[in-house]
Amino acid sequence: MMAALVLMIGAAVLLIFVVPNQTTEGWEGEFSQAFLPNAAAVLILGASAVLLIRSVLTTRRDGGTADNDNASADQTFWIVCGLGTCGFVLALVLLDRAGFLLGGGAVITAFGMAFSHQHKLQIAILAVAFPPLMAVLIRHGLGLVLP
Amino acid sequence: MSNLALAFAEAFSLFNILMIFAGVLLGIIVGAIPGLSAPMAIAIAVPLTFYMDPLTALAFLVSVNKGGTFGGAISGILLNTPGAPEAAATALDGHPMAKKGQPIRALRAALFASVGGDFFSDIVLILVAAPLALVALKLGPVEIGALVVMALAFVSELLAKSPAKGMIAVGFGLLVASVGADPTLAIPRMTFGFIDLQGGVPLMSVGIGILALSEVLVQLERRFRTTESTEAQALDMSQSETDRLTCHDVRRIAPTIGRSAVIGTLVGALPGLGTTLAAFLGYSAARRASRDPKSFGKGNIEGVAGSEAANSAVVGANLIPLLALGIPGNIAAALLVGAFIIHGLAPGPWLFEEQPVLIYGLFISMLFATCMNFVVGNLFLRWFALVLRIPAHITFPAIVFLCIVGSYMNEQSLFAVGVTLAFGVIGYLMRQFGIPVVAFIIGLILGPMLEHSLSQTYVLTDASLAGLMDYPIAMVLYLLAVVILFRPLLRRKKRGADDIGENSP
Repeated sequence: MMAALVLMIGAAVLLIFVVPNQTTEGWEGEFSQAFLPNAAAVLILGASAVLLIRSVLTTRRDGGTADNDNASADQTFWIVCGLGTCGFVLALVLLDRAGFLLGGGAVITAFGMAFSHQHKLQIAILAVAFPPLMAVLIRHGLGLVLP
Repeated sequence: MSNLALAFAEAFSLFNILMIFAGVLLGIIVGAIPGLSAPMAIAIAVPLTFYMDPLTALAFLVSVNKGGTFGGAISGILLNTPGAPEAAATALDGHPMAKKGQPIRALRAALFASVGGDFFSDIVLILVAAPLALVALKLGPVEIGALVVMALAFVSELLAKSPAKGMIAVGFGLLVASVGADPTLAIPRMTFGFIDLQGGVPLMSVGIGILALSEVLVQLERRFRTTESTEAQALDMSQSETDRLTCHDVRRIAPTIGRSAVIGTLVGALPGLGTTLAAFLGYSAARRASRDPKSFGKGNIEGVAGSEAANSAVVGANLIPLLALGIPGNIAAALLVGAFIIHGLAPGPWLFEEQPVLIYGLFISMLFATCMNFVVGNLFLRWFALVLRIPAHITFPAIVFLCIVGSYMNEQSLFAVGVTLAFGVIGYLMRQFGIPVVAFIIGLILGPMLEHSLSQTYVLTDASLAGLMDYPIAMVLYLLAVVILFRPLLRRKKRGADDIGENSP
């Protein structure tokens, strides 16, 4: 229910504030460049409204217990979501600052440790060997230099 | 004729043959790793094709798809942990066969069925795509716009448990597609001041993020929920007398393969239905037609062949709507659109007129890749089983790095990498809430085509419904789209009325 509500609010914000500010009006009688984003926002708004209504009706019928959207989104899901987001942001910063070899190694270490912190040596070898190997392959195979 | 000769020469160039071999090998290896699937293999492989010529690039990616589709069966049969959802049907009988001491027999039956189904659908593609493209070339922008609307309705209705979620996915795809310069005025919109977004959101970066990176998060979540001791262990592949595919087996599964190949081809030719449905339809058809249906689920070789032939038959057939109409039917076809675009080509019926050598070359390469799949699969079957021993803490971090590198190679900017990483999280959220990522990708790809056709429709019909009446085919297609979208609602109402009828005294 919450997800549908968030989507509805997001689509409404898009329709009212974002699309008018991010598109230009063409000449009169011309196909507007706002058509596609508006149509997409209306589609999301309508579909999420249907989901919300259905969710409310189901909750009422089942006495307030049914909430299909959030049923599987438990603590583990949000932990992974948070870890993933932090990992990806960190990856972007490291790749920007330290380059692909060091940054890539750090990313591999972080994700390897997230999967299993009992195999530190294997992960370390992968983190040290894999990015340079890929860089060499890409340089000689495709002629592209990773920063 | 000269085009065909040229196509043969290009398809059988040494580099093309090597790339087909490499594609099949890569596809089987990636497909065999639990949690990874053929579309993921394509997403990771697309950046490798930037510097190839278009035919070799497409042949390589199609080979990855073919190999990956069979590869999924390896983990399904040996681990009972299918690499992809469609391999779950193969595992139903494949794993019991492996547990009975016949893993090689099960794997060879899966390979034989996979190649059989694939070959059949390739032939159908070759026979059907060109005539269909000729018809499609007669369609004007009004009809094409209506066709795209119908395809999107079809996709949103079929790909999600609820059509509303499918529509959200398509809407989101169209929204992301609207970022960048619009097709009529060529003025940037929805870019929020980012210069990198003026050319639109990089398609392959989105594809890599939403398919491959989100899958890494899904696997991470699975890892958090299970302990290492409860993980499935691969079965031993030690030699035994009974563990081989005999001529009797081949004769027994041949009708099943034929039946499933037809089912898979039909499913693959329709946008949005996908390999999982084909695999289960093939499996249930094999069960219904079997003399011994009770043995299904306990290690019946026909069950393995039925599901594997059907899901592999989708691979060739899903190129029918792509090449004939320009509409990708599933995720693999959607990723191939990305590959076409990278090489400056727009997939659709016009390719048959503008690039006949490429199209013929692709068809020849597809048939050759199917044969290569059979050869490589047979030769390295035992080696592929070793892939299952690579632990997740090695596979998935390496995939994260490959995704990052692939995305960077696509645009040669860190902005593209940022897009990939952002869509990795978005894809994970979408999967969690049951919003189909495939519908999103198809919406994203069809967005520009839809907008272009609708802008032409706007001019041709003077922006009036009365003007649309002059285009009966378009009207029929729009009506079909409405029927497809409201069908579940009508069905529910009918069911409700039936319930009232049954309950009333």
